[in-house]
Amino acid sequence: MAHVIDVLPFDSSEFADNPEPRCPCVLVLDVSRSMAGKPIDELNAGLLAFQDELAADTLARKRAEIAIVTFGPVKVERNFQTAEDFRAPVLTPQNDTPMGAAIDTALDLLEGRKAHYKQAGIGYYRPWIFLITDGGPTDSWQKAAQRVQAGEGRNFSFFAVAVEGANVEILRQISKRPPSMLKGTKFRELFQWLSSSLKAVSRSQTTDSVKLLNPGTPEGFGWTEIK
Amino acid sequence: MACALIIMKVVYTPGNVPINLGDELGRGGEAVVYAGTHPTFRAIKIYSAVPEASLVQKLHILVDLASQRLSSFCAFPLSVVLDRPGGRVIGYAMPRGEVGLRPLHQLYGPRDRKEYFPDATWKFLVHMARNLAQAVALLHETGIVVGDLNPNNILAGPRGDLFIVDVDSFQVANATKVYRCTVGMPDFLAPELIGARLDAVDRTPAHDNFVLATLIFHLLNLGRHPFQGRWKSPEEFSYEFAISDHRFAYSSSAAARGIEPPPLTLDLTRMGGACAKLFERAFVGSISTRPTAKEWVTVLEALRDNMRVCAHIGTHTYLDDGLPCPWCQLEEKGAILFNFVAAVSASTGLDVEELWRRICLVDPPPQMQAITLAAASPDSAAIRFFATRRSSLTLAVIMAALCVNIAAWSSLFSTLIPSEVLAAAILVTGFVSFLSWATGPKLSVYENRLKQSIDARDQLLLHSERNAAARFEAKRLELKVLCDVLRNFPARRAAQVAKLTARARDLQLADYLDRYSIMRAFTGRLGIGKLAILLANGIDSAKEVSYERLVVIVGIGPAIAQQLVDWRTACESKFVFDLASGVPREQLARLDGNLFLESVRVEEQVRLGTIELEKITRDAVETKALTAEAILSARYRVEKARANLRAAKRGDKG
Ligand SMILES: Nc1ncnc2c1ncn2[C@@H]1O[C@H](COP(=O)(O)OP(=O)(O)OP(=O)(O)O)[C@@H](O)[C@H]1O
Repeated sequence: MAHVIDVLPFDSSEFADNPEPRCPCVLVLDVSRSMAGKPIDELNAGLLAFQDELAADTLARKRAEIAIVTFGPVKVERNFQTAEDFRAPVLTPQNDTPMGAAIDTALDLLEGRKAHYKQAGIGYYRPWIFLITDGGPTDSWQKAAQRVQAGEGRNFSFFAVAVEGANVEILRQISKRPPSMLKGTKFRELFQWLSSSLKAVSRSQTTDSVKLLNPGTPEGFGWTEIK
Repeated sequence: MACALIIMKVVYTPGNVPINLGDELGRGGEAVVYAGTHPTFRAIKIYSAVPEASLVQKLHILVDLASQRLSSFCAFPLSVVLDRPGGRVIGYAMPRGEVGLRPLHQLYGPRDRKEYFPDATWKFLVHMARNLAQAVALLHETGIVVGDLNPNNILAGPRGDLFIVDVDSFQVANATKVYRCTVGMPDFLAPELIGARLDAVDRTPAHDNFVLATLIFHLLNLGRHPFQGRWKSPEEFSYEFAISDHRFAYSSSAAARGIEPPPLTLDLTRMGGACAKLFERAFVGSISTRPTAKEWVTVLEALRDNMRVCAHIGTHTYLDDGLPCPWCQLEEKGAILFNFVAAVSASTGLDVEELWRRICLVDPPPQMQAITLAAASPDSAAIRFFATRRSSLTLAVIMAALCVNIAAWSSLFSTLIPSEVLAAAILVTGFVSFLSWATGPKLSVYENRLKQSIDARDQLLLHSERNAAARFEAKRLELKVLCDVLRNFPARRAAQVAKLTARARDLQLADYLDRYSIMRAFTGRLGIGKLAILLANGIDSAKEVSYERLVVIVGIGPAIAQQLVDWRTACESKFVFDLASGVPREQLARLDGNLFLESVRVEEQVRLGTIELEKITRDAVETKALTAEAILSARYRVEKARANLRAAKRGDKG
């Protein structure tokens, strides 16, 4: 039963060391000028708490894989890393809001990662893409929106989170799922919700599909509000 | 309601035994587990919400089923606990898992295993799999279905012990009702349960058996899921699909299903034919072919007892199938799946204790029986010697006395015998007697003879009995010292690794701190001017921050210096040393290489020494009869010489 390919196209030893199935999650974060001040501070604090909470769960730390794409300009701040290795970056406010290009980058990153899983024979759960923005795209976003629409529910789950000031109308056109409104700067609560949702794949469930906590309720860390 | 339960400090059994709640031992989705301050009730699970009536009934059934045997490997409910005497049930008491227990995924996942179970070998993993099968078999015998069998709920200990927690989720039944297990993990679920609502189905032992096989596979294939492989079809991966489609990636029929084993994994064939067959039956077959827990126990025991140790790396154990070490093969491809341990006895696959055991098996040389010699009687010559010497002396003395008397009495005797004649006769007799006393054999001859015989005897003893024993002891001591040197290899290695690790940690920390940019962290907090000064002085990340370095910079006062140092401390506190990527592999390899060469030399010395040790004893045994005779006669000669001397001195006849 010899393996067909003996010369490995990429280093799969990381998967030999940790063969747990992965739950990839890309955070697409707006770091445009308007995020300066409290929002970016809270976002940074939220990311740190996110790192700590995932790392504390013995199984989720091996399963959840985090990547971070920031925009503007578009930058892969962190490529995919399991939560045990993930270190939250310290983000600083930059320029404009090229949201379309950022989403494209995130989708490409995800495609590439899934190809690795496939070659390494590693299982995975439906990936998550999390877009957080307080503005509207300053580039063309229609093509990215199409890709999101086509992949939603099949290749990944896409969530858009609108921070005060976001162009909710465009977010609605990008994401099939209605965007969630962040209450004030409750980034920490948002990331608490996200980490416990990611941890869910490492826990026992009543059904085989992962149940999400309602983010509008205290159990779901109450980070959204109806507008 | 949830909060009220958590602040409780004392809970009560139905018999009003109070139990104090101690430290938190763990927490899950629906409960918190505390240490209990009672010799029997050492762990207490308190639900976050008041349990429903059916859960309480289930707990009572479980308490009735509890036995010493089940409690030895399960956190089995021993009693429900109440919020106050006669109050409502808020949880249950159970035995406590020993410290050092870790969830099963930390044992089968190589990265965690290398950290938390550093010495675990494949044999240990097989042993653990066997223990798990045995535990499930016992539960099934008791009429229990585990249901939510998963790597979070199974805890493993470093000595092969096993502890299953979350027992209140087990499925139990009484005459009237089945108390279900309502949960499961999607990757640890039998195909027939996929897509089902788990709170709406009765679970069966067959469901457990599927998950048991899945967990055993994880243990044997170092964390690999049997249904995770390289799949060719374009669709997304999902456990639901892979499991229900029987896509067992290692199956002999895997290719036909469009899947192949992942790279860097153990071939199914290297787990032995019997094991491979059971996996095929479990994963490709149907419910009816699924192996039972009992079947697994037998097959895994056989596998565990048919292992060999790699000739190069001591932590590599594998099925003794005549093929090369699979772990070395995987290492060559870049997957280091077991910690390096200087292969202390790489040349033979023996370990130090085995070498030492062999040394201890060598019998010491035989001891000569302590024969008590009958007292030796002196030779007649010695007796005569004494008698002759005594009579010669006496005669001489008498004759001398006579001569004196004759002079006085001569007038009296002269009439009878002419006195000149008499005197002459007496003189001659006396002189001859004196002469024979003075010139006859001396006593010193006997003394010398005794001394010589003692020397001869001691010489012989030294070369035989006592010498063999002493040589044996000396050699054994030398071997013991060498074995201690071998035993000390892991400690020496650990010490050297610790040194390398400390160095690596410093480097990693510096690297880590380098990522914290001062510009990013302090823009807005410090004026641009100050930031520029810092940059100009080469201080641009937390790595460069130190109080001494900062205070001397013109324009940076102690307050800012302190602020920066605090920040650095905060950054540093978040640093987690990554052991895995810590010490470069080449450094470890060089270290292990050196230790290996040295260990081979020492081991060779031990081996040769053991042969010498055996030779000492063998020689002693072979010459024992001869030597014994020689010694006996030497001892006899000493006794004889002693008796002779005694006789010669005093006329003793022994
Ligand atoms: N008897 C025990 N001794 C020591 N530790 C225990 C014991 N029981 C449970 N624990 C620890 O507490 C944790 C939670 O326990 P348990 O799984 O029973 O809680 P739960 O709320 O039912 O969890 P879940 O959400 O998985 O159902 C376990 O993972 C384990 O680490």
